[in-house]
Amino acid sequence: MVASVGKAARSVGLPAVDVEAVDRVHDLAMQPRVELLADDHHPAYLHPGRTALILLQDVGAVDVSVVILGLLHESTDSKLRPTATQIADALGGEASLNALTAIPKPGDERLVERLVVLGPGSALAALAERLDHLRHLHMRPDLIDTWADTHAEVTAAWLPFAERTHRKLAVRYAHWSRTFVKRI
Amino acid sequence: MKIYTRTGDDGGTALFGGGRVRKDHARVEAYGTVDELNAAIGWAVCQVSDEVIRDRLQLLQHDLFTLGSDLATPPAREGRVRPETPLLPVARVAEMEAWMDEADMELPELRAFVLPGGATGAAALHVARTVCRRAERRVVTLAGSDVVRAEVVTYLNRLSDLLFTLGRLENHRAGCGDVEWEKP
Repeated sequence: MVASVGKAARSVGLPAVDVEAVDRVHDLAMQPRVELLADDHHPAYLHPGRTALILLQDVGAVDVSVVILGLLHESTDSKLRPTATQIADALGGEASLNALTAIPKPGDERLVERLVVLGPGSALAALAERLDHLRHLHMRPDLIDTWADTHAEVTAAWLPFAERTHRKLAVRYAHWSRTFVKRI
Repeated sequence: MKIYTRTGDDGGTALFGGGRVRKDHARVEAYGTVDELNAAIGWAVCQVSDEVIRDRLQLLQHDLFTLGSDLATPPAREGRVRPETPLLPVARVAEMEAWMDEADMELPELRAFVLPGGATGAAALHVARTVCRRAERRVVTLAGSDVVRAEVVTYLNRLSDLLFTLGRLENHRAGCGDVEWEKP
């Protein structure tokens, strides 16, 4: 995965120093997964890299801070988030941490309000990260009790937000919504 | 029971329901290639790392055995009844389409021609896909001179698309992504 992310980062034209930063942050994002997920086929295992690939390949993100935000953001499982200290150490400051905490999590009572005030980069990172979880949700029978609510929330909030943010992401959200509803 | 019968030593073989033909007859070529496809899928089952994909491939192997028995049974000759063969897995076509829709939800957008390769399991699935296309061609050849059920051609056409999709899915889940053709 790290090779795929590096290749995608180079192919959108990120300079070597940014590609190195992406590699380093990918390693950081992977640490809790390597430690806590026994099975490397668990859908959450490759989540950071896949989110980065959505940002690089589908969105064509050329701002390294957006890719880094996508790598570090984990909306679903708090145990798989790198700690604030690790993030601050790796990035040398609080800026990324602040951007990360501004992204609302699924189930947030003020989800729509908080999504619409995100900056453009944070919005893309939030949408890409959420999309990666969604497209692997059918592989999470442990979350089956949440599937219907998740689908309702996506239809009400994430899909409209994607439509106003990025055309290709909106297409993918719409496809997920249409296909996944058959599972509920 | 002995495996060898010596009855085919003259280059001929018996069809199900009676009648003998040369071993290079279009009907033998058709069901022989379906048998080869089944072997290729069996090999893929041993290489694929994703359990869901493996389970689906094993279902398809049973289908192909049924298809083979149907192809090995020519139409009834005058004054005779065509022997009963197991029911063709007609409903599987819709099921394969649903599997592909679901995989599309998970996979990144297809942005370029994809080369066979990536993870070992994906490469094996691409081999199976090419054998499937050949089986389809052989069946179409047979249909040019003899009766073939339309459902057999439909099934093989859809299976080939599915094997392509599963190859991409295996690479995606293994974290290595598509191997894209690079235009010279």
